[in-house]
Order: sequence, then C-alpha cells, then structure tokens
Amino acid sequence: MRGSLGIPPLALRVTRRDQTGITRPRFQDVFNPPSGSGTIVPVFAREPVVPIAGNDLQVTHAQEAVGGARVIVRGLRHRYGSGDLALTVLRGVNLEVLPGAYIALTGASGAGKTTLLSILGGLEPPSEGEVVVGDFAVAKLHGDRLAAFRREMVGFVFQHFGLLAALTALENVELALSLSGRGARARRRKAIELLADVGLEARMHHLPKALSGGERQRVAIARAMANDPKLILADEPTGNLDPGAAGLVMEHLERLRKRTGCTVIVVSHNPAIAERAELSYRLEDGMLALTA
Amino acid sequence: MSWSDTVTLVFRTVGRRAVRTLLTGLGVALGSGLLVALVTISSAADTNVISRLSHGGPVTAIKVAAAVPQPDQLDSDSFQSRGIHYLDDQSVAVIRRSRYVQSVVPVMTSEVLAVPPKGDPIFGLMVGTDLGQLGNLPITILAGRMPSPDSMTEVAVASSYLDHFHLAPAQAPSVLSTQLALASPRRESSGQVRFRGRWFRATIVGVVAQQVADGDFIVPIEQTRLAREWAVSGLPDPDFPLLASQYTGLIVVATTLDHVHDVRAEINDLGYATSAPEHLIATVQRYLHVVDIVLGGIGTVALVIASLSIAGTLLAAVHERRREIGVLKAIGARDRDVLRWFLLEALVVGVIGGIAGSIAGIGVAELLGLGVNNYLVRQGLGGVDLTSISGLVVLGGVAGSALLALIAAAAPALIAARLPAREAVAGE
Repeated sequence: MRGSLGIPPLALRVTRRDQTGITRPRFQDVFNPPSGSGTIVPVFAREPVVPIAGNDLQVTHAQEAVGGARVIVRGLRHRYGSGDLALTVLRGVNLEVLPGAYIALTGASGAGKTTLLSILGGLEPPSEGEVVVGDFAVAKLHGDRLAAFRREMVGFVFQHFGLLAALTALENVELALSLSGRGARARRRKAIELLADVGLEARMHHLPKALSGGERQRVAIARAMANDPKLILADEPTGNLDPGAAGLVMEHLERLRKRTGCTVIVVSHNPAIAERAELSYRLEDGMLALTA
Repeated sequence: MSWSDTVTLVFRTVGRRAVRTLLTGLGVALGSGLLVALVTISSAADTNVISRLSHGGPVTAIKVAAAVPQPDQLDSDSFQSRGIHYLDDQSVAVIRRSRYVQSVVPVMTSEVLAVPPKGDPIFGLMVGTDLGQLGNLPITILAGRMPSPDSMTEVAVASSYLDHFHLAPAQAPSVLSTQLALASPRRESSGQVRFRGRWFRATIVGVVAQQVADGDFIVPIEQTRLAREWAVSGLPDPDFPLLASQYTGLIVVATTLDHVHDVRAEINDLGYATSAPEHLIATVQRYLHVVDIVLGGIGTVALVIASLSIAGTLLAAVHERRREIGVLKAIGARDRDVLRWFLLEALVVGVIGGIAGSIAGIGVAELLGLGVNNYLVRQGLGGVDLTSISGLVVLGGVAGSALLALIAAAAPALIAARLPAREAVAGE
C-alpha cells in the first residue's frame, strides 16, 4: 500500500498499478467516462472524493466523520481450498477508505464481494495481506478479541436479514446490546429508540415471520447500529426486497450513517443502490477497480 | 451474553420448535421413565423378596435359642443344637454389648389352651415378646393389628389358627374381634386334677405370619411371664425343661447384613444356638443382583437411545441454524456463548423429559405394583411398597436425564461453537 494514512482532506492523488494486463478504468475515465461505456458513472458529485483506480486504491472523504473507522487493505489475497482444487478469489486487493466514507462494491456472482466484506468484518481470516479497521489489525485477531472487534466496531446487514427467528424484533436488537454487556433496562431503552428510528416502534414485538422483507431489513439495520459501530458492512441489503422497500431501507441506512458518521460499505448487484454511494468499485477477477 | 439472556434465548428457541422439542423430550421421557420404572420395581421386588426370606422382619435378624450349638452351627442357617442352655438377662446384656448388634428382643413361650367362641379347644403355644419393638421382629401382619405392647386383653393369632378353622388367608379379617378364653397350665401335686389353668380373656386384634418362635398366639411378654410364673409355681414337669430358663429365645438384630455372620459367631462363642437365613439371603442376593443388572441394562440402553436422540436432534439443529450461529458470531457472540446456548437447550430438554419420564415411570410402577399387590394379597402374602423410594428415584431420574442430555449435547454444542462466523454469509 502506497497511500498514506495522513492524506489531507481534499487532497487529490492518482496512482495506477496494474500488472495483470486487464484494462481497468483510470482516474480520468471515472470523471470523463468514455462514451458508450455505460458501466462507469461518476456518482460522487456532492463531495470531493479522490479515487485511485486499479489495484492500489485510496478513497478519501472530504470531511472525516468522527464516528467512522478508517479501513485499510493491503495486498489482500484469499483462496478457498488447497492444491489443485484451490480457488483464488481475491488476488491482491488494496484499498483505503477514510472514516465516514460510503462506498459500494459491485461485481459478478463469485467475484469475491462477500468474501472481501467477510474479511473486512472479521468473519474470516484472509489467506494473505493486511486489513486494518480503526485501530484493529483484523487479520491478527482471534477468539474473544475478534468477537469484541465484531461486537464493538462492526455492524452487519445481510441479504437474508439474519434475524433470529425465535426472537421478536425488539429482542433481536436487544441481543446485540446484550452481547456488549448492557443492563436490561438500558438495552431495552436503546433497542426501542433504534427501532423507532427505523419506523418500527409499532412492530417491535412481532416475530420476524410476521414482518415484511423491508421491515425485517430495517430491524437488521437497527441491530447493526445497536453498539454504535464505526463500520457498517451491508451485503446485498436490498437483494430480497422490492424497489419500494429497497429505497426505504437505504434511506434509513443512509440517514443513520449521516447521524452517526460511521463508514459504510455496501455490496450490491443493484446499480441503483451502487449509485447512492459516494464511490463505487467493481471486483473483477479478484481485483478491485473503481467504476464511479 | 449473560446467563439470563442465554436462558431466554433457549426457551424462545425451544418454544419455537415445540413439536421437535416435544418429540425429543418424549424420547428422553420414555428412556428415563423405563429406567425409573425398572429401578422402582426391581428395588421393591428385591426388598420384598429379602423381606420374605426374613419373614417380614429385618433381614439382619438372628434367632437365638436357649440351647447349646452343635460344632457345625455356623455352617447352617437353621438351629443345630444339642442341649439346653438357659438364657437370662446376663446373657442378653453380653450380647447387647457387641458392636455389631443393633437390638436384642427377648422371647418367652408358654403352653396354652385356647377356647374359641365356636369349635374345639386348641392346645398350642403362646409367644410373648416386646411388641414395642415390632420393627425388629419377623412378623408380617396379614389382617388387623398387633396387640398393644402392654395390653393384657389383646392377642394376635398366627395363620395356623386359620388352618384350625379351615379358613383361607384372605378370610383372616373374619376372626378379628372375636374373643378367646386362654388358660396356662400348672401341674398339680395330686388328686384327680393333674393340671390347673390360669385363665384370661383376650380379643383377637390381628392375624399374622410370624417366625419369632413356634406358637399360635402372640401376646405381650408380660402375659407369658405371668403364665410361666404360674407354671413354675406348680410341680416340675419333665416335659417342659425350659420353664426354668428366663427366656426361651432372643431375636438379635445385627447392624448390617455383612455383620450377621460375625454376630452369630459371637453368640456361638457364648454357647447359644442361632438361626439366620444368611446363606440363603446371600445366594438370593446374588441372583437378584443379576436381575438388577439386566433390568438396569435395559433401562440404560433406553436412556442411551434417548441421549442419541438428543444428540441427533441437536446436530440437526446445529445444521439448520448454521446461519443463525454465524449471525450470532457476526454480531459479537463468543464461542462459549454459542456453546452455552446449545448446552442449555439440551439441559432444558433433558430436565423436561426427565421430569415427565420419572413421573410416568413412577406411575407405571405404581400400576404394576397394584396388580402385583392384588396377586400377593390373594395369596395371603404382604404387598409390595413402591411409594417409599419414589422421591429419590424421581430426583435420580431427572438428574440422570439432565446429565445424559448434557453429555449427549457436548459434541453438537462444540461443533456449533466452532462454526466459523462466515456461516452468516455462507451461500451468498
């Protein structure tokens, strides 16, 4: 990783390192997409953000949000299996996301989006490389420290919602608070606030099966925000939702992000969702490329 | 995650999968119920068989006769005597001092002529003993009750009395409350009257099967003492040489079955013949032990099957909940939180199944006991008491089921705890 963590706000730097021979968008392509390319759309007109395309990417946000975590990925490689059956999914990803940034990851099925998200969130260790989230060297964490990292630093939002079917909406949110050791009354109060934030105060005592897909995902967002995470990782958060519900879910996610200043990384197939992010990257052949 | 949160999660999970939990619990219940029923029945049967061998008294009871033992006395369960050896309070005191002796109950017999309300007079023996120590005597009450320990107007009759009137054991209640005129004989000095009687009236209050001493009428020892004083005050009778002995016998109770032989040896050294079913009980106990092992084995196999059912159910649950476990870890649960979740779930199933099974097992045992008791009473025997060990067996059944459930859950719970957090996003 050649990018510095001390990049000043509004700084613009562009580097490109691509030894694979695969055509990748260049910085100028992002801001001036070639006609007919269709896939590269600049979407971050609101804030001056500096992308560094190719395999060595740096993303900075104009104003570092206090509540967000910086994410640094260096030389990340990941493979499943070994020997002849080994499948390399990530082939050397570099990425820096400044605190409070909101980025989208796209790519074909099997491109490694979810794997990258899992590694960032400490759900699985990388085969090689370094991942730093806030003050945590994620790849070096194990056992209780890794659990504490996931509990304190990260909020996950899954495509399948990931709610425990036996618990009500309120209890699902409380469960996350319970894991961080909060007292019963405090966590009940906070869980109610969080559910009210996503417009579900009237549905908090319902089991997940009694909720619509959009409502379930809003519960999942409330749960993800429960422990004031510095990083939200959303894996296809609208994948199982109709466009109306998807829009509502993203609005809640973005509103909460603005309020807390946390860093958000969203994986999505949906271009409309990707377009909502400040930056959009595409994973292709195990490499990361900036698309917008 | 705190214990209380885990318990909440467990009950919600169990409640949500009520049918599966019910089926698993039923498996545990059947296993523990079968084991409890078998243990209850076999324990009661063991107790009853041993009790029958000891004729209703303590299994450690030893009968002592006012007689000199033969050299091979200790090799035999029955009396092996060769002459008279008077039994008095001094001998009783020596025997009482043995550290393996729990109690000593004196026995005194006396000749008696009984005149029932109807039928011919009966010549028999009156057995007097301390009825305040009924628990230490080989007596089984078939009907009614025993005379009060100091009553001079109550008598219990042995089943031989029923034989005299050709009555079946089941008809024993019919003789209760009838009055007998009883006379103890005394040899007179001369004249046409060779014997004179000491008469008294007594009401039959109970019918018993007894092995205290040969005899048909059981009375408080004071009654026989008066009868013997009466007899001794007459002329000596060569047919009854034991009249001069203070007691005709003793019932000595050893502290444990293992010490019966030691006590017999000590009494043998004092010069008294003894009788105790020690060899018979030892042999029967060996057979009963084999039966217990077989019954216990059947119950244990049932419990193992139940535990395999728990393990299978939990493994299926782990497989089904891979994603939930992954999500739980993704939001910060530690391996031990997941381990605790699954172990507690198994514990809940084990305890619920254990309670249901133990209660059902006791119920089954009680039902069987009713049938067995009906049969035994029809045969003129004492019933089987299945109530005295119920509480302990229920506790054991519940605790055993819970423990077995935990053991069965260990492997699935460990598998669950070690599932990677990536399961949260597996398949996506």
